Amino acid sequence: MTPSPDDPRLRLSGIAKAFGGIQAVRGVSLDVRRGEILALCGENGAGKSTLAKILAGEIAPDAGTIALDGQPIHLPDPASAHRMGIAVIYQELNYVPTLTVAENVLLGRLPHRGPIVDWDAVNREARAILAPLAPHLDPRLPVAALPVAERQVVEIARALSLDARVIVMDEPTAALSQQEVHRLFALVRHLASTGVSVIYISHRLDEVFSLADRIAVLRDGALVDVWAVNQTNRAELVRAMVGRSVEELYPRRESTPGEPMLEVRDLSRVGKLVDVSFSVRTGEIVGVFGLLGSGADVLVKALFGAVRADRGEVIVGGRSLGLPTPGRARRAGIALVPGERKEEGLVLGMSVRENLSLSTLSAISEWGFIKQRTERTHAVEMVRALQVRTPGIEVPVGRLSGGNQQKVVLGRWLQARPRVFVLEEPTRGIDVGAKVEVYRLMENLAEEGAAILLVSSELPEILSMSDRILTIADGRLTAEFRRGAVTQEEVLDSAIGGAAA
Amino acid sequence: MPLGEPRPSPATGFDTATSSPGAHDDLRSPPGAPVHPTQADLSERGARVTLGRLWDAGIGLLVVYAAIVIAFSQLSEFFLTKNNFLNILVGVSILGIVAATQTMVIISRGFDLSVGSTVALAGVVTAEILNAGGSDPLAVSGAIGVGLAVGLVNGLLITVVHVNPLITTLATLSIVRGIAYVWTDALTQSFPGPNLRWLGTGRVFWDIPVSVLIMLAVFVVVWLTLRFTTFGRSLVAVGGNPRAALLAGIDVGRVQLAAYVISGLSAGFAGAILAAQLSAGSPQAANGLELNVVAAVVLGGASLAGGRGRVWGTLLGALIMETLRNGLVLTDVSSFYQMIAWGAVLLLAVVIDQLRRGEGS
Ligand SMILES: Nc1ncnc2c1ncn2[C@@H]1O[C@H](COP(=O)(O)OP(=O)(O)OP(=O)(O)O)[C@@H](O)[C@H]1O
Ligand SMILES: [Mg+2]
Repeated sequence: MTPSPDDPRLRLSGIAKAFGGIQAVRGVSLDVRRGEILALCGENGAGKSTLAKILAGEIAPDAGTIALDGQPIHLPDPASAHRMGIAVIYQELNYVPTLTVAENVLLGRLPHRGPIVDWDAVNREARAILAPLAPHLDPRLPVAALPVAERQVVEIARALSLDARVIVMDEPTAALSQQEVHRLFALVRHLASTGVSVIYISHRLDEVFSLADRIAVLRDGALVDVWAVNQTNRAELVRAMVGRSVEELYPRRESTPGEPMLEVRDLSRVGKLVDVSFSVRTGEIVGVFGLLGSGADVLVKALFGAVRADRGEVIVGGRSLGLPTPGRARRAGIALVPGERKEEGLVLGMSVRENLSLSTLSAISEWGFIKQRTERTHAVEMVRALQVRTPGIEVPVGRLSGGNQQKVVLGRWLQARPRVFVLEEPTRGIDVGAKVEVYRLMENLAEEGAAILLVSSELPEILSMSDRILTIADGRLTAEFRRGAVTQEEVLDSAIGGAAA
Repeated sequence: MPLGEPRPSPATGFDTATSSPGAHDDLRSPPGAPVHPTQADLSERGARVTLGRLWDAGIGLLVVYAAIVIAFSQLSEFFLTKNNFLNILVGVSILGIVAATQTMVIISRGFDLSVGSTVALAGVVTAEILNAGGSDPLAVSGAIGVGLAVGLVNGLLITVVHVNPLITTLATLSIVRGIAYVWTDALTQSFPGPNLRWLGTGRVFWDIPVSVLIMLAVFVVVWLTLRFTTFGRSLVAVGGNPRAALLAGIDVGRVQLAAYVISGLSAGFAGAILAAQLSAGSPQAANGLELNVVAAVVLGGASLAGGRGRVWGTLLGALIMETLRNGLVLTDVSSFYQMIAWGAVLLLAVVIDQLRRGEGS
């Protein structure tokens, strides 16, 4: 059979995959056209990543066939997917942390002269590949030294530079802020205009509507709907995904903040943070917004003592911790939900139950012995409250889907009932239905008197959930806004404005 | 195995704090089953004993052990006797006590190579105290004190100064052994027989040697600690992902320090028992013990990368090694061949374990 222009770029027929007894993907048949951007939506655990991994040649489907430009293809391993021109950006990032940005971008195809790597060419080519997405990123830095968002950019840049016919992107923007997202979209649209087909997986519905040509919805592993983007709307999409309508994404509330609970004074770290001072009162949610490299991530880690600050003071409930250590911060009642769940949030070999109780061990134990029943009850309660989709609390947490893992990271600290919550991208990878639950939980916590610092790259989330919004750029706080009295543009401006200054 | 997903930990009944369901049966739910299982559902699942879990629970090791026992019972008529069995148990007690606590160190992503030297120095100190007229309890306390000191030095260097554990304990291995030689002028220090006899050759109940009971007690305590205590859980978390443990507010340094101190204490105590068995403290004692200890722990199913270990597996590993040694001696095999056999069994057991794990996932 010769390929004809009428054949779809990619045709999936009856693809199915089960893990043990869980049917992750059920008979999915789907066409992706040439130069089309197809969004793939669905709840946490719906089977999106499984489908992506099948296309990456990483998981073999139990049933079904795949055809590329009319030719049936077989993908026994990632290398053959590569050869076929299918590039996949994974939800859980895959990089070699000790290698430099350039080496990661050009992994497996480093320019060389004979057996000698041509380092000038490596850096030059990497810079060219990175230019449209992150013009300021130095390709000679080790990836380990970069914040999550920049690591994600490196991944994306690598995949986009592969000359692929099909690109699958599994939540590429989960840690990116608007500016990077805009650059990414421009690039993706450009690629699509040259005939590349893109499968775009995301929980950010705004992005889906602004980028996609068509939207496909997976539910419990089955394809339930496919629409052209102008034939549907947000409400309908959400209903298809979660099976009910989600009325109010951001629960509103009246807040009456009390005494200052968290006070930060002159927190500084060479080259990263400059005299950062602010406070969060009981019952208050303070949002922090910054672009790539703004220092928001360092601020979070320094607050908890996971990154050592050079100077400054952290005060909780009127008592100074000096420069905190993680142990002291926890005992003082600070909780940190870190941004990168796989590396910082979870012990992957441990069960869901064990991960959930990691920060409350002393509270659920007597004489150093863990109260087994209490631990189990708490775990079951948390799993239900956050709608974690898992076969049971004894399953290793690494087997859950990305969004469900994120819920476990969140749940750990919800149990600890701390006085100060520092949330770094708390809803990263969480579906719309569960997001509402998370926001409600945040509201409840604030109402019960917790002080919450919310660091997020999602502007609507920051704008709707925060009582006050702080912007950070180049390690300095650049502006403060009150809720309701500010627009996205203003916040963005002061986040960028600082960077330019 | 998908790249982005972690390798599922092979779970076992013997598994310490990470009691994860190994078999995929545990994940089975009928198609169309409710997405959010009921409360009973959630906590019951994964608790069931399945064939897969039994297999995971160290059956491979048991098979190796049975094979060794059967082989030697064919080769020597003295092998399968009660007395010889007690010999094996006494022979394994020192190794066992030290290996039990080493399991904790290895689970926390650490390594303690100084245990053999600590046993020796503790034995020397025991003998010196007794010869200077000290009482039995004082002598044992002295031995434990030696262990405490070595454990603290190891732990502080590793957790405060952040020296690599392998290098740190390799250095203290040499230093502590050296101190034992200098102190004794390289001479074995005998002490009068009646001292510490209860500890060395005492027997209780059905003729069970005291040292064997002590070893079993140590194993039970370590198992309880790993399975049921906050400290045990912290050890597993620190070994599994130190960064996540830190950000969960666990005092990673303190947990690791405690592991080294416990390892030192147990080596010190084992030194007193060995001295009691020999009625002497010798600076050469327990030479190379650290390798047997690490071998037993790894044979037992612990991961050298941390985060996973099985206490009872360690006991089985120690038993396999001692039984092998005992059988080879009984069958008059030269010590050179013993070395070869030792290595072969270590490889065999680890290979079987690897194959089993491959099947499990
Ligand atoms: N390696 C695995 N072993 C067992 N079950 C798995 C494995 N990988 C995925 N699953 C299960 O398959 C189902 C689908 O997972 P998948 O990762 O495809 O979801 P997803 O749609 O990407 O969700 P999310 O939005 O949370 O990323 C989930 O129930 C998950 O628990
Ligand atoms: Mg996913």
